Amino acid sequence: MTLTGHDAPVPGPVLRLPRNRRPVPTSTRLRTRRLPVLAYIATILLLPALVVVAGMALGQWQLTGRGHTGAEGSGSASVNGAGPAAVDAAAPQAPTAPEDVKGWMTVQDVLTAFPSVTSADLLAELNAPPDTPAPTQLKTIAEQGGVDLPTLRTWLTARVSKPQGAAAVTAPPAHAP
Amino acid sequence: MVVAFVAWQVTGHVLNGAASGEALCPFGGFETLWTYVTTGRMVQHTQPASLVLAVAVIVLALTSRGAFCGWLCPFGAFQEWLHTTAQAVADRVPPLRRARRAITVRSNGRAWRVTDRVLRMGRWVVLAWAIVGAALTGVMVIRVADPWYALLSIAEFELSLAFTVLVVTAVLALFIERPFCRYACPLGAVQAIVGKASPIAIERDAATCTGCDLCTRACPMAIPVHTRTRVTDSACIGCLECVAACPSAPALTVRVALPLLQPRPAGAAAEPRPVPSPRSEGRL
Repeated sequence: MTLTGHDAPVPGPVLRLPRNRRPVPTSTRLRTRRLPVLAYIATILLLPALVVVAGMALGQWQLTGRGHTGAEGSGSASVNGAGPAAVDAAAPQAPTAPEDVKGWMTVQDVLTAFPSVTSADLLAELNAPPDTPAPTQLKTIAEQGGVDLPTLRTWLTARVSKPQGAAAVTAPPAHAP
Repeated sequence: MVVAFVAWQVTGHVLNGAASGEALCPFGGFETLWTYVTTGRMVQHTQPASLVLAVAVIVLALTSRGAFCGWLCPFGAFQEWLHTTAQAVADRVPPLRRARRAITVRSNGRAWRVTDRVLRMGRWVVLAWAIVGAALTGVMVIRVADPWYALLSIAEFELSLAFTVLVVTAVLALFIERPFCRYACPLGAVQAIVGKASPIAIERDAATCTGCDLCTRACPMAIPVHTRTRVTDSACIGCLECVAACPSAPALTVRVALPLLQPRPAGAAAEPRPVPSPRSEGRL
């Protein structure tokens, strides 16, 4: 008995079935159990929520790199892995490396983190007016025509790695003593 | 619910300088993973929350394939709303209805299927570009063309490549369901890989299936559900539209294959079962 389906012949390989059997679509070899739709939906909604709650419990749930003090002008970068409690505590933490400088940080944050950089040098590099307030965020300066952050980071990296004496020599004449 | 949360976050970001909605993108976690593991730093514009969400997506994909896309992704919902609205308008405006019918009749189905199949490879290209690019350069290379980022920062409008991609996606969504999900979403590609291990899938019972193909028509990802026994396609987003559209209720069900359930013997598949309709015998 050949598997032809109906009267019209079907081209292609001929499948043979045992006598008295009819062709049916192939069934999965997996043994499965029906999952109620509500249980399926509950799984979809609950699983991510549980992971997020676990992330919060482990202190990994951070939506921003800044602490509360950042909005107040002093700024802080929460370390990866520090928990919400650490962020809430708002312990001021300045960037430790030029790569850590973010747009939400202020001019004061950078000056605090890199003592070798003077306010005048930094503002000159940022193309910002000399009377720019220290609590101004870097991204605000960048939006007003200042240099972008990657350029600033590159400059900071060069400036930090340079010896103090050399930095003084290369400082703009206007700010030199 | 997720859309509302993201909208609230974006509004807060614009008005109060709160965290950006980008921090809620799970794909940022995948982009930053290599940099985070090797250097302990995060790629710019990603936050630890992205890593947590990436883990959540992996866990979800391991259990229920692409269900994140079908139930939780706000950008998928955005495209779905656009498409639903466009279809509703076309249904009610006779000239649009006639135009749609004319396009459907005159379109070359085979050419479209081939194009569709080729375009679906785009997800893997975008995934490779985003992950490898982020690992090599340390920045989110996909951000320049990310329509989700463009949508999040729509209040700070800027004519950019990302905004262009967003507009193209929105226009395509009027005609095609979830175009970005089908052809370009790297997160969907990640779930397609991880979801291969998922025990949950939609199964079609050939004995009760009438072969009406309403399930296939309802599928937003254009999976030919009526030809499948167990829908394990990498494009499946687990939205259950096919199950809802099925007029023969027990024909399509969500089923779980647990490790404790032993596989059927090989001969079990050939057990005699009634065949209700010749159409259901299309693909074996």
